Amino acid sequence: MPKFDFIGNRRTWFIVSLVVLVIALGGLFLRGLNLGIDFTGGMTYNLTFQKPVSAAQVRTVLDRDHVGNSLIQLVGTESGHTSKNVLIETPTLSESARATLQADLQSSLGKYQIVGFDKVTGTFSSELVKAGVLAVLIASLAIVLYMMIRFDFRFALTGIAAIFYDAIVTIGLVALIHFQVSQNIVPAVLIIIGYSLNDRIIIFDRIRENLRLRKRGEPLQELTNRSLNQTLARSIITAVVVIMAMLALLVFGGTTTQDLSAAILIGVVFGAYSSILFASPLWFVWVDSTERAQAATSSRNRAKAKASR
Amino acid sequence: MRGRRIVGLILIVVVVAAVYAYFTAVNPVTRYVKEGLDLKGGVHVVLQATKPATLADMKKAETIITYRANKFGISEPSIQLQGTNQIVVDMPGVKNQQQAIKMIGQTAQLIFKAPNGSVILTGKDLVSASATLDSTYGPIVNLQFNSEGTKLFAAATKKYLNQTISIYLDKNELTAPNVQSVITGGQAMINGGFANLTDAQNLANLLNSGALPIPMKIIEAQTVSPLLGADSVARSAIAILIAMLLIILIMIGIYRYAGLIADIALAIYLVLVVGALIAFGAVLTLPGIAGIILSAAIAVDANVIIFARIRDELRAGRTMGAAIDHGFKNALRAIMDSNVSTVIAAAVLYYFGSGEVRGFAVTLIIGVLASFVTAVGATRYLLRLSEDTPLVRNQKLFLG
Repeated sequence: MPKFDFIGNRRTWFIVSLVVLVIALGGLFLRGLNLGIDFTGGMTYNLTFQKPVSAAQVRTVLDRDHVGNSLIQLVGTESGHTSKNVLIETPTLSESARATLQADLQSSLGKYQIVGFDKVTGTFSSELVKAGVLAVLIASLAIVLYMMIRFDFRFALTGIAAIFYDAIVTIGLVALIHFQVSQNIVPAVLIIIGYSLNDRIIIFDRIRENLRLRKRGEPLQELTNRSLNQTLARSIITAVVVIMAMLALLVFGGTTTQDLSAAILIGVVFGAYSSILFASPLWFVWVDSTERAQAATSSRNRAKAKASR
Repeated sequence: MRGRRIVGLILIVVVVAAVYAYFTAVNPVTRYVKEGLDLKGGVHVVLQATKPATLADMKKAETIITYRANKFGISEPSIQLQGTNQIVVDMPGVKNQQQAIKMIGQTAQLIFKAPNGSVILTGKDLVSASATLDSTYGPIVNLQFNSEGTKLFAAATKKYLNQTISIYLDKNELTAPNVQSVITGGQAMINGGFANLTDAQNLANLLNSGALPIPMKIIEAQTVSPLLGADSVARSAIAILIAMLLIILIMIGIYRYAGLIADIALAIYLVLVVGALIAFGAVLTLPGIAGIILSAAIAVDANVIIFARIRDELRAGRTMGAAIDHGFKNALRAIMDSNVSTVIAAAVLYYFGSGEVRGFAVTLIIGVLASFVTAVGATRYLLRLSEDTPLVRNQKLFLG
């Protein structure tokens, strides 16, 4: 079993956690999320080419012009793979970018006619996001209640705080790195919260178990450290498995799911980090100060009892 | 005894492999999984009430539109209220936008027909329909006609006594009750043929309004391409395969034989999840896949926790058999707490969430249950069956 002193170095880790949080919040509020056409809307082109084209061919041109995140749709495909009629939804482009794109499409894929051109609004309304956030908040409340029953309120509150920490840090870092997000961000955040919840409970369970078996006078710091070291192998292996899987999705999954896998990747890394180096030290500080206060009171009482004798 | 266990083990592996071979090569399971609008593409329509609408009006309109969408033969339409005055209709797989919109917007016509096919009365003669639970007949629908309708209906029931009068909505026969007596009070009852009160309520709603209860306008109608884009579905599928292969290899790399057992359990997990999705007729969406990914991660984690505990027990000097028993026992509480809290959270998300979030919640609940059955149950059973193999004596090979 490894013997790292996670708790002894808690000040360092709190500072690291705080710095990461500040950077993430800075990313979120100063830079903001780079929202894709799902949110912002964009432009749709309805094109009729003279020769049938495939979605992959159109995608190649769009990638070259840096609008690879556009939606491509073939209308009335006969063979299933090619069509003359193509719908393209791009982000809002400047006049010159549009001109470039139109010229490139023609030089690569042949002559075409613009049948329709429209500005579209985002399909993903802020109302939906608000409803989702509300649902997550109510679910968090349920988690807190469950953890209060199965653990206690200190585990419950530090656990949920660290879950929110993970979600906020992930969204903030996604904003900071500034890759474009589609509505995939919703399932990504839900996965991160779920992963984070699972991770918290597994580690808190070991602390809870060790608390039950605690020998008289064993310092809380030692006990917490031991619990974290006992679960360290598991924490690392599970995180590595998920990280490798997400890396595969990121590398091989193509442009349309990159935001999803990248966000989950960040979330899992910070989930593993915060279970060990944020949630557990936070829990320790709280419980330790309570224990110290209790010890002080009881020794004062003893002293009083002695003095009055 | 020893031989039998090993035979059992091999049998399970062969069956799992056969199931996979059958449902990928011979009879692809993708045929049975219903895909949502985001994965399959289709038509997305938003209707908005042009006048202030009550919730009851909107619910009624939702029922009518659901009826229409189903009538159109759409495999899995999703109709949802949005905000206070909008209805979102998603029709996965529908390509013909014009036809779909025409169908959604059309007015349903209620018609009572005589046995000879002549029209007796229509929806405009009906004042109201309501569903109740009758002590004799079960769920029934009560009809109330206006004065014109009362006269027509009295004449018709006299003329067609002991024959059937058919009730049509558009061209579909809804029900064909038998005329048991002459009805002069302008009231009629439809009994039989309802599975439950909701069923009767749905018909009442439909009868109440040949037309939508409030005027609605289509404010948005678009043919949606699959969210991933037709060209990236294949890439995503390959990426998922590579990710799964990586997980399988990592588990074997770290836990050797036990890792292989965990992989088999994971394979069974996937069969259970996909089977449950098909059995419940759940619609698979991208957030739904996210729920499966998360529960798969939870399943892998459960096995990692269990194996770590077994290693603890071995280090404490127990024999392999005892270590496996104690390892599972010790790991169970953590896994239970994690699974139960995840299911609770998912249930809350389902109850309070909208479409996107709900898709995630459904597959997460199914996935977590399946992961518990397989990562705890199946892994344990398979390890038990392996206790007689010579492998068990080589700890490095058995558990890494």
